[in-house]
Parts: sequence; C-alpha cells; structure tokens
Amino acid sequence: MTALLDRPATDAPPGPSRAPHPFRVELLRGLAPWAGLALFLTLAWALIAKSATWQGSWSETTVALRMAGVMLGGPLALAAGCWQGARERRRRTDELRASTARGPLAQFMTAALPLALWVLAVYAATVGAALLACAPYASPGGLAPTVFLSTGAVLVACTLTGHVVGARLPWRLTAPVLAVAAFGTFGLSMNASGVAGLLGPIPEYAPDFELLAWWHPLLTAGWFLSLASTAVLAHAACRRWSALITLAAAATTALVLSGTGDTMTHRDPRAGQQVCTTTTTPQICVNATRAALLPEVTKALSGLTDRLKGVGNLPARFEDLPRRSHADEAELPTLTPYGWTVVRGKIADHDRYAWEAAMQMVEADCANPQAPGRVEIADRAVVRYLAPTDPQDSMREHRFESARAADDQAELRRLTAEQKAYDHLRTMSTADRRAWLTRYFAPADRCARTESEVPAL
Amino acid sequence: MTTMTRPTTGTGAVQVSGLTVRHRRTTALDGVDLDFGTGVHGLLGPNGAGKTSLIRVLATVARPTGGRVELFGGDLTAPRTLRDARRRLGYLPQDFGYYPGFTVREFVAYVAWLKEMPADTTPAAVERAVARVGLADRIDAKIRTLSGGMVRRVGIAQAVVNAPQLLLLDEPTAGLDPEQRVEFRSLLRELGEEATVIVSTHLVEDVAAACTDVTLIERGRVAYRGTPQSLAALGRDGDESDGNTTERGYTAALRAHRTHLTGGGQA
Amino acid sequence: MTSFALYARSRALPTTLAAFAAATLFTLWAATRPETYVDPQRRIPLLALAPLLATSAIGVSLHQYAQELDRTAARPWWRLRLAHLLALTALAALLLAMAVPGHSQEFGAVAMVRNILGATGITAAAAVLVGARLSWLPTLLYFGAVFLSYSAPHLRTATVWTWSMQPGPQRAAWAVAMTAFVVGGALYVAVGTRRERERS
Repeated sequence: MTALLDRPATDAPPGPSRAPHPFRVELLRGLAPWAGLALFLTLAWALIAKSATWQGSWSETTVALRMAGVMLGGPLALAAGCWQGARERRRRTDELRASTARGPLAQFMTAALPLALWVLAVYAATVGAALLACAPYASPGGLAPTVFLSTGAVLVACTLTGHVVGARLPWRLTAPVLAVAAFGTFGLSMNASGVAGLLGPIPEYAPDFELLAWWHPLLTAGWFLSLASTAVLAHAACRRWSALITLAAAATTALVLSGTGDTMTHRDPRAGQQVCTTTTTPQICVNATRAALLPEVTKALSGLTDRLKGVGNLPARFEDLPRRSHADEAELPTLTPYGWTVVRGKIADHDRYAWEAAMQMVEADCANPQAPGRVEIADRAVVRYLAPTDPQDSMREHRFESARAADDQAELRRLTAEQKAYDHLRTMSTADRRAWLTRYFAPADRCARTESEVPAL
Repeated sequence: MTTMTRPTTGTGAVQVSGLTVRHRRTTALDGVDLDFGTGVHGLLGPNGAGKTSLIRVLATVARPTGGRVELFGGDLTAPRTLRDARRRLGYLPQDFGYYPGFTVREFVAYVAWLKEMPADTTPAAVERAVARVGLADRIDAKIRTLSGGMVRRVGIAQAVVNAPQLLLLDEPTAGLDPEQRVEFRSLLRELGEEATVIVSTHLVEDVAAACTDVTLIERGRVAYRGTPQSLAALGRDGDESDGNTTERGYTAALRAHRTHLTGGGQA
Repeated sequence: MTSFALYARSRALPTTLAAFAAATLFTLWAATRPETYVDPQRRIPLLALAPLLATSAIGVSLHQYAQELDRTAARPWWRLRLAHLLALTALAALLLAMAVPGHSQEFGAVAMVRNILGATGITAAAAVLVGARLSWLPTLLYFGAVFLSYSAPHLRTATVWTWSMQPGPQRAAWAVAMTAFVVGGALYVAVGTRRERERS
C-alpha cells in the first residue's frame, strides 16, 4: 500500500527543520486515506444509484444521507477502526509503545482520530455534494442539518469503538464480524419500533409530512459519542474510573432518548397546505412541500386542461393534500415517492401522468368501482379523449385481438361500442362537445351515477 | 556462585535486587541482583536464559513477579517516576515492530513523540539519530523499501533518538552484516561513554569488542559477571580446539555455573 | 489425513468453520422466526449478512502465515488452492442453504447459494488484489451499497448490478454470480493471494 499523499523525498526542504507530528503522519500514511477513499466510493455509488429518489426534496436528501452514512459508513468505520486498533499487535509495535512515556490515551487518540477525521471529512464532502446536487430541484424547507452532525458523530463513535475492539481482540476475523454485526444491528434498529428504534442511529419517521425535531439528532449523537467515549476511556485512560462518568452520560442520554417517542417529530406545517394555479380549470394544486413542481405539473396537464376549456361542472381543483378529496375536487395523481413519477424536478412521462389525472377526474375513488355499462363506456371515451396516449392504443389493439382470437362476442361488442363512443366524442363540434362534457360532469356524486345521468354518445 | 563483581562506574542507573519473573509455570528470572552504571554492559546467555525477560523488565514493559527494580534511583511503582524513567530510556525490542508505510524520519519522529521529547528539539534529534546509524541518505525513504539490516538500524535510531541515559538493546546486531556490526560496535562504545547501555546478544564477539562489562545469565540466574577480558581469561584455561578465547570463556563459565547449580543442589 | 489436518491448521480453518457455524445458526434463528417465515422479503438482509460472514471467513482463511516458505514448496499449490476454495464454498453454501427453510425460489435457499458463490468470487479476487486479510472489505462495501440502493427505480430491473438482491432463479443474476465465482476463483487458484510483506 502506498499512501495517497506520498511525495517523493526530493520535495523535502533541506535541513533539520521538520519532523512531522505523529498526528499528521497518521493522517497521511497507512490506512486512513484508503479508508476515506473506500468510504467515498461506496457512498458515491449508493447515493448516485438512488439519486432520483432524493434529488428534489430536502427531506428525502436528509434521510438518504443519514441512511447511507450510517448503514455504509458505520460498518466501514468500525472495520477500519478495528483494523487500525489491531495494528500495534499486527506490526508488533505494542512492545515499543509500552516502554514510552506518552500516556496511553494520547497514543490512542493520535492513532485513532486521524481515521475518524478522514471518515468525517469524506462524509462532510459527500453531504456537501449531495446538497448541491439536490438544490436545483428542491422546494425550500425540510432540511435538517443536525442530522448530518448526528451521522458524523455516529461515524466517529464507530471508528473509536472499532479501534478499542481491534486493540482488545486483535484477530483477523474481528473486523469483518464487527462490520457485518453493525450492518445487521443498525438495520434491525431502523425497522424496530419503540425504544430500540429510538436508540438506533436512524430513528424512523415519515419525511413526507413530518419534520424531525432539531435537537433529536443531537441526542442521538450524544448517545453514540458517550458510549464510544466510555469504551475509549475504559480501554486507554490512566484513570479508568473516568469511564463511569461517560457511562452515566450515556445512560442519561439513553433515558432521555427513549422518552422522546412523540416529541421526536412534529407535523410539517407545509404538508397541510398547497399551492395552486389560478389560470386553469380545474385548478392544479401541488402540496406546499413540493411547491417547486407546480409549473412542471401544470405543463404535464396542459393538454388535459386545454381540452377542458369552456366545459362546466368540472371539479374545482386537483388537490394534493394528505386527506380524501372533497366532492368538488379530484385527486392529483401522486408525485411521490420521488424517482418514479418525478425524476429530478421533471415528470418522467407526461402522457401517462395526464392519463392518471383524467382517470382521477372520471373514476373517482369509489367503493364499488364497477360502473353500469353505459357509464363505463362514456368514462372510457372521456379518459381517452382527455389523455390520448400510445400505450392505451396498443393495449386496446391487444384486447381486440385476443377477443377475436377467443371469439368473445360480448367483449368484441363492448370494445366496438367503446370505439364508437370515442369516435363520436372526438368528431363532435367543439361547442357540442363542451356541452356534452358539461352534462357528463354534472352528477355531484360520481360513485352513484345511473345510466340516465350520463348523456348518450 | 562464580560472580565476580566489578565496581560499577557512577551512581548506577539501574539497580536490581532479588528480581524474579515468572511466566505461568516457567521462571524466567530467579532472584537476580544486578546494578549497571555508565558503560556498555553485555548480557550473554543461551536461548531462553532470561536475557529478554530482564531487558523487558528494565524497559518497564514487563512487571517483575518479585524483587525490586530502580531506574535512575527511582522506584517504578510510582507513576511519576515510571514516566520520568520512560522519558530517559531507549529500547530496541528483540522483535522490533515498525510501520512499513512510514518514512524513516516519520517513524523516528513518532517514537520521539512517544518519548515525550520537546517538539522544538525533535527535528534535529531525529536527523542526528538517523545519521548515527548511517541512514541519513534514506531518511525520507519508506521503511518498507529498506533491507532487513537497514530496518534493524532504524530500530537503533529510534532507541537513541532521545539521547537516552539508559539504552536497552535486545539482540541489536541480528541482521546486520559484518561491516555494519563493526560500525555498530563503535556506536555502542560512543554511547556508553555517557549512558548506561545494556546489550543483550548471543554473539560473544560483540561483547568482546564493545562491552566494558559482561553479565552471563543462565536459567534465570547470573552465572558470571566481569570484564570481557576476565571472561576470555577463563577460556584460556580450557579446551583450545575451537573458537576464540572469549567464546571458550563463555562456555567455561556456563559449564562452571551448571556444575555449581547441580553440585549445590546435592550438597 | 495428518498432512490434511496440518494444512487445515496452517490456514486457521477451525476458526473458519466456527464462523460458518455461527453464520448458520444465526441465519437459522432469524429465518425461522414467525414473521420472517411468512414474509420472504424479510429474508433479504439475511441473504446479505450470512454470505458476507461466511465469505469473510473464507477470505481470511486464504491467508498464508508463511508465504515465502509456501512458495518454495515443491507441491503444486494450485491444486490445494482449488480444493481449499471449492471445499469451503461448497460447505458454506450447503450449510447456509439449509439455514433458510421455506420457499426456496423467493429469497430462499437458491438466492443464498447464488450470493455465496458471487461473494466468494469477489472475495477471492480481492485476496489476490489486496491480500487475504482485507479480502472481505470489497465484498462488504459492494453488498452494502447494493443493499442500500437496489430499491431505486431504475435498479430494480438492473439485474447485473443488483444480482445479490434478486429473489432467486433469475438467470442474469446467476450468470453474474457464477462469473464472479469462476473469474475470482480462477484468479486466486492461478495467482494465489497478494504477497503481504509484514511478518505475521
């Protein structure tokens, strides 16, 4: 292994002017830079692979950075710390070190902290890069900076704890076993409810509509750091009893943390609000947590709203609130989780999104989705008119073909009727169609429509 | 016991009385009384005699099971005297470990820091120590690029970096070629002018060439103590078929000690 | 038999077998818990953790205490290396496959065997490139990164990258795992582990 920052000896200034401080040497030589590089590559991979799911939301970015930091950085920091801690035994320098005057804690910190610093620096750089990558697409709000402090603290704690374990159990399998165990434990605690979850490095919450209390990650940080300090002091301090102080601090923090269940998060006030267009009918509203998406959604639905110009009895708006739509509203097709419908501030498939919106207008959430025959035919014609998309056409072709092949006369009749209804709607004059659509949207209760309430086609 | 006590020079940096070291079932040192002052003291003895155990106790790495050890007039049980003694000693373990990725300068400076040397004198001290072992031109080379003998010299450099008043060298000449050994002996003599240097070795010729004083250890006890010359004198009386006189003296002293032990047991 | 026992001890195989046993018992315990048994999705973490543990042990067992000495041996090492790798992989695969009872095609025994093969391949290659003692690290990082990201929209179908998180008999996933095993294994058998200079 060669160190990253290995410079040729000729760079050295002449004369006895320099003797690098051990901290600096540990920082630049041996394991630390390599661990930093490994962490960087791993974090970069995981975050880039999932970038579509967090770019565009500060809350999601916060969660993704915490998750990647703890779940990938934690085991790596433990393993690297363990490797570094076992170094004195591996290199057989423990004998020499034992004969020197420098206190064991100072020796420990000089050997362990540079690695922690690398891990921390790489994580900080990753956070910075991810935030920059998120910024162009995100609506304001939802960022929880203390989460990054907490993750950094967990990483430092992991490095120090790993170092202690490595020094105490200098076997070759210790590091991988520790890393795998951490991977499993962190994963378990993440999905655990109650105290186990609260004491874990990633307490679960719903970043969609909840905000984390700013102080909560700091408690998590304190909990992990005090645990790690206990291990370090018990291992290396001259006055071992001082570990009792940090242990008491850890116990206190754990006690406080386990009582934070309901106060850990509060409802995001923006989640109950939405921003709406004023120029379209129906209005298009987007939840305030993703307000920046309004222009894009409006654009995706522009074909639909154009076709609905001049039509009456329409829903007042497409709503995007965490509640059931009111009678005069249609639900906006879902925009989250990110990465599926919305990718980096853009709606990936406008046609499909418009089709989903048309479906929401026509076939509102009904307990009994089976509408009477004529109603269904009209519904399908309206959806097809409002959002004509290629996939729908090919699917229809396919249904025709399979009905023909199976000689399913009833299906063929229905398909023909649907086609006729659609052709009729499409070929009407603009005024007739507006009038027809106005009558079509008239029934207030869309779930209880009878055949007589739907105008003929 | 065939101990010939040679008057030690100075106050005696090391004073050991009744020193016993036991590892589980074996007794490595058994009631050893010794004192070492300024000069180069050779520790001779067959493998497993207890040389390394003695050096490790003096290096404050191993704790004696019984007896009393004083370094620089201070008892090692008090943390302050222990720390003070550690600042003043240099130690080359038999199994010298190092960090292959460090340069010679970095490694020696690291040890200087471990020995709590003042930061302002460290750079010069590091260069001086490295120059003393003849590695000045490789000072910024990584240790992994050095040959075995050079690594051994790095070990000596780290031991002398703090100009120790007590220098403990466990098998320092292992891995050195004959020319380096000659240079090393002169370095030893130079160091022995001001400090107490204790060298454990199995090479009798090293002792003859560099030491002012020889201690022969056998089965955890001091078998012989005297000058290299008096050890050689023992050799002149014996079988002259093989080896030089000091080696023969070594064999003769060992034999005498063994006879004494078994004979003493029967008496 | 004696020389076999000596070889086994020279490679710290008893520790390796103990690690296999631990991984198997842990997996068995976790996989037979009622909530895991009914929901194969819950076995996904086990399909990452158990192979990681087992292949870490395999990777570490490739370490040679007396590498220089081994190199001078007249015995053709490649056969021993091949036997060593195959025997341990087969044993790990067998034990851990038995440790996940229930539907084998849905995050079950099939996926376990595939993951062990793939992970062993990566570990063996890493032993050649970075040395046996750290050979577990690339596998750990790779599995970790994939575990964290496989649910991403465009990665769900990218079987070549996320082979270790596929439910079971997917051909592409098997192809990647087998390729990793064959290439990594062959590299190790042909070249041996990277020379580690420090004495240990």
